[in-house]
Parts: sequence; structure tokens; C-alpha cells
Amino acid sequence: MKAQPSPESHIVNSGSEDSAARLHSDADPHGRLFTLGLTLAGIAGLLLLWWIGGELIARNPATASFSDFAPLPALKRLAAMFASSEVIHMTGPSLLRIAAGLLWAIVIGVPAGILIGRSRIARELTNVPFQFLRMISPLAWMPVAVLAFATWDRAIIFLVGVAAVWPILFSTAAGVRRIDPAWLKVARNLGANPRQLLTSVIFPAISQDILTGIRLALGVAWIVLVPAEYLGVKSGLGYAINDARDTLEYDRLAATVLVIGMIGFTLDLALQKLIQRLSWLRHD
Amino acid sequence: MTNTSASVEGKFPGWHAPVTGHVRGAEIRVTGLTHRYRHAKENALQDINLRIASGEAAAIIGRSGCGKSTLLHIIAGLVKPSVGEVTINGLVIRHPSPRWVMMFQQPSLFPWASVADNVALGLRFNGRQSEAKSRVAELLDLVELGSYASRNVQDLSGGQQQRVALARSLALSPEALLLDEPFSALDTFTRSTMQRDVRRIARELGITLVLVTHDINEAALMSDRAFIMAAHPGRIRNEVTVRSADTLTGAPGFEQAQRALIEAYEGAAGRSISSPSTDWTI
Repeated sequence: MKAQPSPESHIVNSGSEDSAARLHSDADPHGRLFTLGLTLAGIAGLLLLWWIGGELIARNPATASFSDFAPLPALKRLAAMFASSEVIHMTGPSLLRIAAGLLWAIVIGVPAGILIGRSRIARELTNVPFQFLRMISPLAWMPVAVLAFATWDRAIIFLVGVAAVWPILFSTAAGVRRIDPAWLKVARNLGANPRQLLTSVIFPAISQDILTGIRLALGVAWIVLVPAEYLGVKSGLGYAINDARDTLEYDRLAATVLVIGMIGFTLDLALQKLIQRLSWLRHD
Repeated sequence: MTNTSASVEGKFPGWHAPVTGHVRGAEIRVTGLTHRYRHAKENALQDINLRIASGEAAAIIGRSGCGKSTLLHIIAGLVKPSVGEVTINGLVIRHPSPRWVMMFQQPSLFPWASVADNVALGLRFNGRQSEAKSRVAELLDLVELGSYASRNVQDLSGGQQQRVALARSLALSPEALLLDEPFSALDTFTRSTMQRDVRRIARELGITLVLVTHDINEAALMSDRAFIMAAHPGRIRNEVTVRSADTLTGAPGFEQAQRALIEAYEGAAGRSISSPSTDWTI
């Protein structure tokens, strides 16, 4: 028998819980407003820094020719680029390359991750080589990619894939290692065959780890994409940046930078929401 | 092997009726079984022989480390024995099978699936998804969770989760239910309800029950017969007939069974009880 709490302590407890609950419910709407306020303030701060930078560049005679970097010309140009659907034309090819690179990374990374998570031999065999390869910047493969692939497009997809495969692979492997062995025992006991173990236990159990890996991979791939598109191709965001620099259209350059940031941010947010929706884990 | 397919497909014949003469439980024989884990210095189990009759409720009791759980895993086909064999209805056990289902201390439900999907798991694995709808409703009623079908299992209490695990185990109409300390994580009140319900359900369905426990009361409440194991190496030291016609803690039969079990238990541990009035009622 456990000692019963004294009546006094019980009252004190419930009292403090009540007041805590009241505080919480009162604070919640304010908390949300507060968060929104801070978010907007952060965005405003970034714009302010950009504006100050633009002013400094414009006032310095040595840099005055770059003054189109400033927010006002850039945002004007961005609006024009949206209106002329130039934005769609330059992002379409980039998104296709990202999709193809990510697809390859998933096709290779997920099965390899499952194997490494399940098999000690595979894990120990690949540990050093994979950790070694992982630390090489995907851009370092650029010359190799150019030699190995017939088209510029394929070389870029390869570089995106090389960047994206590691987060997916390691996140999948970590998820597999966290699978409760009892789930597999229960499933085997109920007559699951190896394929059913994979589809009914392993995949649902690691779905979030795979998605988290894809989210991380997308971040890296998006960063690698722009420099990779400096290669040969005549389309995409990286090409647009280079092109704007060559034609000295600094407002277009700044607007393209904005597009890159916005799309990357949106894709990441979408994946984050997807992960939240598919999550089966209760965090409370 | 005789009554499998027919009974597996049937829907709990005789469930609403009281105990019927209907017998379909597995007959389990363990012959000359010795087991040693890889890299272990001594046998985990040494020359085990036992026979559990069809529809019987047998308890395997003993202190931690006596190998009782290993024995159950071998009976379930989840562990291969070093020497000897287990047969169920004359069939040598080599693999786990939904015909003899094991229940563990942790319910280990799939947190990404609803209560109903968890119960239907075995049906799905065996290509009988089409039966799931009616069968799951029936099973959830049986374990008194009829209104929980679409709930997330993570919202259920420990006792409710263990009931879902029980329904999941019963979905394929097993001939034997192998219980590995299934209620030890539950609170006392929930535990005794579950003990009584599992015993009742097994008896009414004719399922053979094998219960591994270190809880004397649980053995006295749930079993017809108890095997008492001793450790180093794990072996069967004694066998006690319990047969508590009515498994009520207060009944005279219960106390008698309890006394006999305690004596055998202490005997297996190499001790004798000086004071029989020791309070064992946890």
C-alpha cells in the first residue's frame, strides 16, 4: 500500500493545478498573437537590414551601380516576373531536377537504410565508407558528374541525388533501429511473412523517419541545386542567377534570390505539415 | 491436426452457451527438451517432459531465471530448442503459428493503427481481411471494448490495451493461448478482472491455456494444473493439481490450491515454509 497523501496536500495540489490551467487557457490566445507578432517583426527586421544595405550600396559611389539590389527595385521586378510568368519558367526545370534527384535518393536511400538498420553486418561494413563519403561536398563531384553523364541535366540530378541520399539513408536506418522488437515478434506470431513484416510493421513504424530524412534531404538538395545549375544548362534558378549577373540586371538577381528562398521555405513547410499529419506518435 | 480448419473458420461456436462439451483446444506435448542459449555456460532448460491436455489450463511457475519464459517461447515456435521437440496435436512445432498465439507482458499494439485494425492484424496476415468487419466487432464485444473500434490505441489504459491484445490473439480462433506474464504490468484490480475473463473465455471456447507466471495467486486462479520449475538448470521440479472449480479468491478450494502451490514453489527453491500463515495475497 502506498501512503495516502494527506487531505491538505491534496487541496494544495488541486489548487495549484487549477490556477495553472487557468493561466494556460488565458495565456494561449495571447501567446499565439505574440508568436505572430514576433514572426512579423522578424520579417520586418530582415527587410530593414536589406533596405539599409541597399541604401549603403547606393550612397557609396564605388558600389552605386549595384543599387538595384535594394528591396524596392527587387520587389518591383519580382512582381513583373510573376506577372510575366517568368517565375514559373525558371522554377519549373529546377523543381523537376529536385524531384528527380530526390526520387533517386529515396529509391536508393530507403532500402539501403532499412538494410543497414536491420543487419549488423551491413551496418558495420558500410559505416566508415558511408561516413567518409557523406562528408564530401556533393559539389566536389561536379567534374566527375560532368564526365560520367551524357547530359548536363543528368549531371545535375546526380549531384542533387548525392546530396539527398545521406539524410534519407541515415534517418531510415535510425528509424529501423528504434522499432520495438516486440512488434515484430507479435506480427511473426500472428503469421506475418517477411513481406508483411516490411509493409505492415517496418514501413508504418519508420514512415516519419523517412519523411524527416526527406525533409532534411530537400534542404540540402535545394542548396546544392543552385550552384549545380551553374553547369551548362540554360534553364533553372541557378542559370537565372548567373544570367542576371552577366546581364547586370541586379534587380532580377535579387528577385531570383527571393524566389529561391520562398520556394525552399514553402517546400520545407509543406513537408513539415505532412510529417505532422502522418505522425502516429503522441507527444503528450 | 484434426479440428483446425473447420474450427478456425467458425465463429466462436458455443460462445454464448455455458461450458459446452465442445473440445477443440490443442494438446501440447514437450518431449526430452533441453535448451542452451548461444554462448551460455549452462542449459537454460534441462530435460523437460510434459503433456497438457486439450482444453486444459496449465500454469508454469517459478522464480525469475528458471527458464519458464524460454519454455513458452519454444512451445510457441519462436525459439528453436537445442534438443527435443514440442508437438501440438501431434504436429512438431518448428515455426510460430497463429494456431497457438502468445500474449506478452506488454500488449505491443501498433500505435499507428486503430483498435479495430490492431485486432484484425492476424486476419490480414492470413489473407482473411474480408472477415475482419464482423469478426472484429464480435471480438471487441467479447473483451468488452465494443465501442472502441475506431479509437487510437494510445488513448487506451493499460488494461484496455491488454484486452485489445487478447482480442487480437483470439481473432484467428487459436487452439492454444500462451500467456507470458501477461497481466503483471496491470494494476491489481484490472489484473484480477483480466485473469477471470481470460480463464472464462478460454474455457468457454475450449482453448488450451498455458500461463507462465511468478504469481502464485494467478496460477491458483487460472489453472487446472501447475508445473513448478527450478532454476540452474531450468527443470520441472513438481506438478500440482489446482482445479479450482470456481476461481474466487475467497473460495475454500482456492486457499487449498494456494497452499499446495506455495509449498511446491518453496520446495523448488530449496526451502520449506515454517509458517504457513505467510501472507501471499499480495
